[in-house]
Amino acid sequence: MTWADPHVAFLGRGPVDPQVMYAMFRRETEAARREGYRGLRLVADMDWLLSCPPSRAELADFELRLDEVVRELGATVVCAYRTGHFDADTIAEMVAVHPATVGAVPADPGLRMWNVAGGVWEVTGEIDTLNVEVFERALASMSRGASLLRLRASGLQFIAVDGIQALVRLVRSRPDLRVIVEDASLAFRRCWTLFDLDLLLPMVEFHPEPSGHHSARVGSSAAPVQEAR
Amino acid sequence: MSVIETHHAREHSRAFRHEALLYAGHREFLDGTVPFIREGLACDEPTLVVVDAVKITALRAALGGDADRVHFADMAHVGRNPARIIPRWRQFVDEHLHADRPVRGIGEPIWAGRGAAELVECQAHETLLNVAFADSHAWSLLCPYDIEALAPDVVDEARRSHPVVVRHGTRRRSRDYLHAHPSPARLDHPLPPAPAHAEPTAFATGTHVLRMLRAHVQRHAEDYGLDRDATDNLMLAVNEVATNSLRHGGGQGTIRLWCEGDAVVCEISDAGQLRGHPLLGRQRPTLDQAGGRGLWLANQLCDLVQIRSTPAGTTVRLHVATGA
Repeated sequence: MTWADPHVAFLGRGPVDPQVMYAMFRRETEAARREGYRGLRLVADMDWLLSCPPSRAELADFELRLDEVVRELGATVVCAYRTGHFDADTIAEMVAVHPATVGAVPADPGLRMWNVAGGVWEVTGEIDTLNVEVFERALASMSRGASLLRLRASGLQFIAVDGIQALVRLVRSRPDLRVIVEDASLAFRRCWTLFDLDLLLPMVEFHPEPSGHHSARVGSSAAPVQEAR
Repeated sequence: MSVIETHHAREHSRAFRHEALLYAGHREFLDGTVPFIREGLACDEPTLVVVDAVKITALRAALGGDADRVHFADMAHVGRNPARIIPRWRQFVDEHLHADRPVRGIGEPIWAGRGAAELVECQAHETLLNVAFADSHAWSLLCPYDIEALAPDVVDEARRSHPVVVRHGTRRRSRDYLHAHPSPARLDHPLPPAPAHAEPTAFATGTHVLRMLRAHVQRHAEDYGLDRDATDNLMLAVNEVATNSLRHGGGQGTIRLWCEGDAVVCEISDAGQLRGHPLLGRQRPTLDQAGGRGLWLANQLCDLVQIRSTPAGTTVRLHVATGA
């Protein structure tokens, strides 16, 4: 068991720098493996952010980037958000960017997104005008610096026009980006086609569901967990 | 009525020609439509005919080998929801109308089997054609009306929505034509009351309200026998209309569902007044436009959409057939 003071390990004397935190995870994982452990398990009391609170958008972006690192390292990370210390909207958005939660969720965002492989993101739940900002911010984070974004949508039970428009805005703002939507529902594909987006935005492709693929439904229960898969 | 000319001749009107053909029975239908089509073919004008399958067969037989030069589409499919017809004409005109070559069409959206609710929306469609193509040129649309089968008031309404009426090969200006219809989309036309058993459920802005509404719709739709695809369509359409209520209707509304004939009907009401263009929901959205996608989608997904809006509020009824 290693104890780390985030003010020293992550912050130094400056503002939140995700790269410093990701580098620490990598160092600790390598150290754990050198010592014969299978990997790193980390519990982070997110109260350390309260002294220098990033915006909700910055925090969601940080969590999604962290998810990539966690997946890449094969680590298990529990991000513990005290529901009395963060507002409901922040808690909801943090739930949305974790694959699973432990404890009672005071504000269910209705959707979840997490990294499953390099450039591949699972999106589950339902997207409408009430949570589309969360989805749109996540799309920007997921695609930053990438030329290909793969969205696994087999667990996406509903997407409203606002959700489709978020995807449209992303690809129109990023002409260099190719998006592959995997396993989308017939309703999603039907909407896309009814707006002629299949013709207007050929950089977005819908790929059929691979045989034998089943998405796990993520239970809602308050501490978001970054899980190794 | 003034006679414009005794037959179609070879007029190349530079304006949109929207004419009602009044016919009685099969023979008169062919007598009125075949010369119109042949006149277009003689001038190499692209022609689209949207009538029922039986009439398509009859026209093909009458035209012989020339039928292959005509585009046909089944109005039972294209016009199942009358709000989908204008986009089909728009597509045809955009694809085929060139500066030196006019286009023409025949469309029969109103037939004796149309239900009362559909009929009103079809009549709105006929009026809205004049709005949709007011600035268009060099295209002619002939709308057959079977005066033997249709009620007299339906034929009277055709005279109000068509600037020209054709009967026995004679074209006359319609004295009854309403050039500037006071309510082209019939937004002020009263709807029959919802059945008493269709209990209203209130909804208001909240984190989960749309999710709860969708679940509510799904439960009722399945109970009423809609299959999965039709249920998905209704849920999407309801979501978009309810989203409009949250954004523009005071942030709250009511929803009711009931079965009516072979369709599930979902009504969403709110306190807002729709102030959009009369063609709202009938124009394919562009990538750059800010809104107007929800009603377009609802029209594409539902078999009938009734929109009524007054200063007292807005009501939208979405119909999805159980056998769709």
